[in-house]
Amino acid sequence: MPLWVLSMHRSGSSFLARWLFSNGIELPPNLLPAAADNPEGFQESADLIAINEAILASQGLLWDGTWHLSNSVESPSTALGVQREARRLIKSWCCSKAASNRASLTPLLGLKDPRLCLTMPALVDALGAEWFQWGLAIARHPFPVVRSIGYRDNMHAIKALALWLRHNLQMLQLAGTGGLTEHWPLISFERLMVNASVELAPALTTWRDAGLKVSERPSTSQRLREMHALPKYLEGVDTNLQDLALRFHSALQQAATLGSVDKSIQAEVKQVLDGNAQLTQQLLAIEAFRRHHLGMALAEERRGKVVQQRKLGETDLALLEEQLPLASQSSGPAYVELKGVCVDLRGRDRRRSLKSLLFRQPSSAGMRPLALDHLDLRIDHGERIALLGHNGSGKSTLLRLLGGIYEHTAGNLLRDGDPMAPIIDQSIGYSLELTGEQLARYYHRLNRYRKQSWQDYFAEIEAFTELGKALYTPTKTWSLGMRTRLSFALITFREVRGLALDEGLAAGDQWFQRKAKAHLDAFIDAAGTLVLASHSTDLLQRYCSRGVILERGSILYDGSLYRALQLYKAMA
Amino acid sequence: MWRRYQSLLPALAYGAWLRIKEKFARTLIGSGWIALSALLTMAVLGSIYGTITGVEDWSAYWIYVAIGLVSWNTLASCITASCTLFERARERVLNQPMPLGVFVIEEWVSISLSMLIALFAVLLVMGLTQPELWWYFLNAGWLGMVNLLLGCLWLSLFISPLAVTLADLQQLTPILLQIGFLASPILFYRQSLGALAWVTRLNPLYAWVRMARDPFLGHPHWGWQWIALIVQLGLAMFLLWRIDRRRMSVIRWL
Repeated sequence: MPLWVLSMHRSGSSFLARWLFSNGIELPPNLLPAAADNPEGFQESADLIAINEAILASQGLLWDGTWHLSNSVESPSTALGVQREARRLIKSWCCSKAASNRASLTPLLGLKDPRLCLTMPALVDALGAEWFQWGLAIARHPFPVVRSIGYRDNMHAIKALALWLRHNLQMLQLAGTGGLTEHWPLISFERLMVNASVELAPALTTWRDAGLKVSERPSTSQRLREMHALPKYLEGVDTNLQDLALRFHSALQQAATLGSVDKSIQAEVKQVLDGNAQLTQQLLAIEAFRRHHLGMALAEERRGKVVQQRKLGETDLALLEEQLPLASQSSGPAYVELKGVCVDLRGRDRRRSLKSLLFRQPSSAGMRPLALDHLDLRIDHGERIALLGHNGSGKSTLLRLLGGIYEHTAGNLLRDGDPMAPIIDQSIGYSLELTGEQLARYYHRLNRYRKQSWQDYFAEIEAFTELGKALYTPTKTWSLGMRTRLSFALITFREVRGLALDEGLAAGDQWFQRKAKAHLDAFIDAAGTLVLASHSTDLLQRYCSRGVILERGSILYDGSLYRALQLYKAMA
Repeated sequence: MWRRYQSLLPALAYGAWLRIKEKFARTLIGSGWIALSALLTMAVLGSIYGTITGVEDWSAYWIYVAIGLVSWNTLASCITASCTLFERARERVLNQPMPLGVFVIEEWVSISLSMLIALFAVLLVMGLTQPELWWYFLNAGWLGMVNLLLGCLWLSLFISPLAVTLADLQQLTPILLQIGFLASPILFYRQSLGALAWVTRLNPLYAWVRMARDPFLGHPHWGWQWIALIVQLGLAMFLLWRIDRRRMSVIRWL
């Protein structure tokens, strides 16, 4: 039987899961490896995370979304597929555990992921209520959670606190009057840290009495963590919101089960989260600022102005992960193969002048590193590679090299066919004085001249962008969204073999994004091979299966995307 | 390499035309400004310099000034544009996998189109009073113009990669071009300088002005024109090949 473990992020659920494991509760396969922010391991299955991520994605919600799931936009067809996959996964785990335990006691399988707070209703729909007999939840003081998540994810305190409120509120949702999870024990993180045996004893006794497999002699081998002093207040957060969180935490502390948490405080929290216009605006402002900041950082990176001099230590890396020799597993000709390839862009920050030529001034170029430094990389036909790395690590340089914009200055580069089509910048590249029709005509002559008539091409662009007569007006009179629609269409309405893509493609407003998504998927599918550089985990997970981490022009890791993302997260 | 250029030719020609459209967007007469400015400059500067130097045969002098100005302006704008060409095209150079020569040729086609507009304006207006101009143009004038444009092409192919690495060039060029214009017999006859006539030999660009202008004055120089055509064609091909061979040594400075 599954034993569901509910909690907000950074609330001690990993410690709880380890403790449960030492007391006879089993854990699912494919657990996340240890990382810098959780050196003893997360005790979370990557498969369960993937299912939960898919449920969230199918409803347009993110793991750090502070709004209610019912306020999201659902995609019914996707949701059904995800539910089917969830059913298959959970049932296969539980059946295999039951088969391997022929004893009379039913084994419990501890399933833990903070996303469960948000995805439980969808999972109940998928599996049926009988799979949710057993579970428990853990709640931690909001202030250390906010501080910890702020440190790990660079999250604003207001957003982190709203996330804490939302997760803990959602955690209680199925425990409404006579609800499914009403009897589930509610564990206090603070009490658990003081004496885990005492805190968990009632729950273990209940499960044992119900004929579930739990150790007779609870293990005490778990190392208790040192409790840090609680912060007295949160900087930059409205005191009323802080007071509410503290009162909510106090109510959670006082309750022994999910069903016994004071209903009035739940209603108050719900009212603030769903109906407080000021909080909603603050959260929107934080999101807008975050996106703006990200956009600025990306723009800086594209201009090549930001060069971060950081490198993960070789020893750290060796401890975190061993390289998987994926490349050597393939046979046949590679699409692109780099052997000791270097790209030297040294000196671009300092153009020559008559003064330096006449007086032979020494150049500082020799002090700078190579943009790509003795790179060995094999890309097979049809591979989907995610390129990860900090700003200035050489991602764009590698994409430009693969796309034939740059040439290697040392080493060997072998290609089986034409270079990949590079899409580094989405700007149209011409003056805003020109009309959409003129730009379309230029792109037609550039990409489709011999393959499609101008009339057919323009009809396609017109139908896809739905810009109508605006196409005959100068693009400077257009909104940013209209320009993005056109650039998206001009870039993707062509055939390419191999794609070197930087940060995906923007598609304009939300309505158009849905339309563009299917078109982009088809475009990428048709391209076959893909190398995608991005800081967006969602984007990389959507399109890629292999991950390559670059740092200062060298490859630090080349292997599965999942492991690459974990490593990269640890590097941040 | 040539196949690549061939496949890009339709986009390249249209791109060059778009540059002119962009330059004169929202103006009343559009690219007609090229013609108007050529005629206006010729009328004003020709009247002043013709009077100062005491010109006797004004009908020949107008042809001399008009074709001289069109030729010099084409050369000067080509050289000036070459000094900043890759800097201006930086976004496209770093984001589109095109041969570097494409950017040079696009600029050159755009300047050539401007030159043709100005030339035909001159031929149309002056042809009303001096119809023999058309005969000169159809006889050997076109060859002089082709040589002028070929000169512009290979000079662009030579200067543009150099200007990327040598930042001082774009500051130095306008000064040299201004001195060259004022010290060369474009607005005045060489004889007007008297003992200082040797100064006109110091400007190498003047050779292209002469190649373009002399056929319109009844001196076709057939032999020299054909030799110049072949040599310049070879030079342009060589520099086009070379600019793509040295791609990274240009791009690294952008």
